[in-house]
Amino acid sequence: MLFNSLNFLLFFPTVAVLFFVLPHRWRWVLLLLASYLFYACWRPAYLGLILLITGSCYVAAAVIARSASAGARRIALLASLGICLGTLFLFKYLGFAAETVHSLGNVLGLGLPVPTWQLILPVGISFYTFQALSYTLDVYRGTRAHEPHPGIFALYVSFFPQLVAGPIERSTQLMPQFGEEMQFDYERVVSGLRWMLWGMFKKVVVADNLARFVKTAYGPPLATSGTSLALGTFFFALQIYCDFSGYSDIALGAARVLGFRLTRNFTTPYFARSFTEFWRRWHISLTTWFRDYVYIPLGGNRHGRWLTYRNCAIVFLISGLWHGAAWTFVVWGALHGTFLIGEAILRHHVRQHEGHPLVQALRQSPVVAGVRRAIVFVAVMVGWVFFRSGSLGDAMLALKRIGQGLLSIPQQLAHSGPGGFVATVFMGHSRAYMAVALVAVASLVVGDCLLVSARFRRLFHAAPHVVRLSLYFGLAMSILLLGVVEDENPFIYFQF
Amino acid sequence: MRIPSSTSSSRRAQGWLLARRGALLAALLATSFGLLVHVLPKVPDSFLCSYRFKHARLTALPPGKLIICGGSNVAFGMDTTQLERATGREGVNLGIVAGLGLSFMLADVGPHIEAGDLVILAPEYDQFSTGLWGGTTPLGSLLLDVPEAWHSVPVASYRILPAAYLRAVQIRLATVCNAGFKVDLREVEPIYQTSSFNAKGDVVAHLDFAPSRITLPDSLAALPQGPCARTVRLIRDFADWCEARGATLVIVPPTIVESAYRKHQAFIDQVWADLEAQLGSRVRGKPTDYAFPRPYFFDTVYHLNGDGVRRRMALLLAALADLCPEPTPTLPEVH
Repeated sequence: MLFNSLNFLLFFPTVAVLFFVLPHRWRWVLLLLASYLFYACWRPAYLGLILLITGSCYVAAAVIARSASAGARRIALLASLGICLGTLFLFKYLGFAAETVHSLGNVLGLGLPVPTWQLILPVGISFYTFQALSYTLDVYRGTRAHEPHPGIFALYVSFFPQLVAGPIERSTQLMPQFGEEMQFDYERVVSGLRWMLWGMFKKVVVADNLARFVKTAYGPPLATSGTSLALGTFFFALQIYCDFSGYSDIALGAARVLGFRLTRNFTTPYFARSFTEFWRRWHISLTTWFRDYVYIPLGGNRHGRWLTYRNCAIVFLISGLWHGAAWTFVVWGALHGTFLIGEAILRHHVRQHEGHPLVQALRQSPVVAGVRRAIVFVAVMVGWVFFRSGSLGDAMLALKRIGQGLLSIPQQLAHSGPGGFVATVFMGHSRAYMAVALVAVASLVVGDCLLVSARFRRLFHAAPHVVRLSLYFGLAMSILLLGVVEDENPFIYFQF
Repeated sequence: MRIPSSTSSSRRAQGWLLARRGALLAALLATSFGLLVHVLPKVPDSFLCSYRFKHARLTALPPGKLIICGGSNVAFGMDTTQLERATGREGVNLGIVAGLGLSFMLADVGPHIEAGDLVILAPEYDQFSTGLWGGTTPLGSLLLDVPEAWHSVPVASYRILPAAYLRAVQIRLATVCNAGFKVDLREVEPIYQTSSFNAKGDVVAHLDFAPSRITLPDSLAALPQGPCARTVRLIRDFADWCEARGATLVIVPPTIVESAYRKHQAFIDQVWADLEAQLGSRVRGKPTDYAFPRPYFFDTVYHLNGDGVRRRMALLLAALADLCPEPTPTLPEVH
């Protein structure tokens, strides 16, 4: 079931009303059934996968909690890891692995058979698998006790607001909330609905409208001009941000309506002044998951600079692979790893001159901060070229075209004039579309700037009800009139 | 207004307050949307508005009439006058566009079927996919310009209607914006407008055009993994309805460009086999016979040009020979 669907418009209010009407002891049953129904609307047969992941992690954690033998505990953990990661590998990576082996075989002249099997990737498998695994790992490490109630654990794995695209919640943060008796609170519910409205706006008005242009720009056989590709990449950067953060906002809002607090997954990442800051603002729940369960166990930054860099590289290679079973995603991850390592090396050298007045001045300069933001944004966009392209060859071709296109802008302007140049860049999309794209981007920038402003939030909450109602009306009307209603644009992160 | 504090009775009061404010917002949205739909310029001579004159003709014809149903494959692919001569009946071609959805098309014609009528149905293969079974944006556009068509919308199409109607309003808004906010939105498209049809409901304006490059790829709209049982059931129910009313239903394949047929042959043949199994002798002709080479097509994988219509009519008249009162003149094969 998609958040931007009529089904969800009927589903969520029904669940919310029933949730507050039911006695507390039955609410977990309602939420669990609702979550399974939510997932089954997509493909009922794959409910079995969630049940498998849930069952294996629960049993493993129970064995770990009750067993005194270190060996038994390790075996239980490995079994849980094997089942979860094995399932993920089977559905997500087996085809990719087979194609890679086949390609290698061709290079070596082995003539291996062409892989033909195709398993449909279960929606959200990367998310709920990681979420369930984090619980087993926490129980193994002793950072949390085993949850004796299987229903609560099952609900933790499958909680519908964050089931298919995160945020990836920790059991220590989410599970205890299922034991709290949530009361209906007007302000909290309105706040949750406000998050959902803003998230829906970002998804169907901004992301889905920009997606139309991106699809044309990155469509085969990449016949578009460099300037159009550059604009397409810029739009893709906004599309993926709005798509994913929009989903997260709807998830946060839906949970908040019911009284549950989920982790904020995005905090205006494109305002980051460094790659480190970017990854503290982008997909926060995944970054912290990798930090706690991969980076720190590898040694983190405790064993010197070079091992720190190695650990960073490993984390980002795995992160790239997590995002998709293709070399473009691996390269995307590797690029970000390279950016972070490069930044760490630069930081190390700058620290050696910490007391220098020039260094102090540069740190405090708003111009330098602006330049740093621009550098990070451009570098991230280079990464998005790989993320969006169908192959490494396409990505390299796109980058080359973008470079050539940007360098030829003065020539194009002189040749066609501003109007002709804009029409060429927009590749024949209508005036109405250009207006919508402009409005969408402007709304996003203004909206995100206002949301981070504490002053705006104070003014908003103090404003008369009619002012707030007007804003909600404006957002809702924009969604109705400008939002893309077809199913051609499922949430991008559903494919992970 | 002060929000009541949190006790159980005040929580109920908070709930009602939220419900009232939500209802106010919903009412404002519905009213604004309704006003917008009301003031949006309509396109009175659009291709979809041919629905009006086709329905006028349908209701004016006496029992024993010929009714041709389907999407644009019948709009762009029939010679109703020739069929009238062969069958001895007055006829109407109701075909407009497959995007109206098969369920809408059959629900729309159903009440007008009378004893002695001959109904020829040519469903497009895309309509066996779940997307086009219930209708898509064209249904919304039709309802925007032809409000009287709301009476024919079946319950089965209600599910897709909000999205289809909303999409139609958005497209109309974009059209108004692109036209510089002009109020008069008469069609300037040379073929896709009401005046391209003849009085019987066939598109004729394009017949003398040279075959154009087919702009669509040789593939159909997204098809399901296997035949859509719901569509076959719908057609079977329609067949029962016709029989109960004393009318004769004949189902014939749509014409499709050869390369598209070959690309989807397994699906198409399976669908047709299902129809034959469930509907028996009502199903006439094989999909392969109606797969023509490119030169017979106008602008899509379904739309025939003049040569294509002539070729199709030869096949159709042969298939309907037992329903024609006099021997059908044999037409020379057109290559």
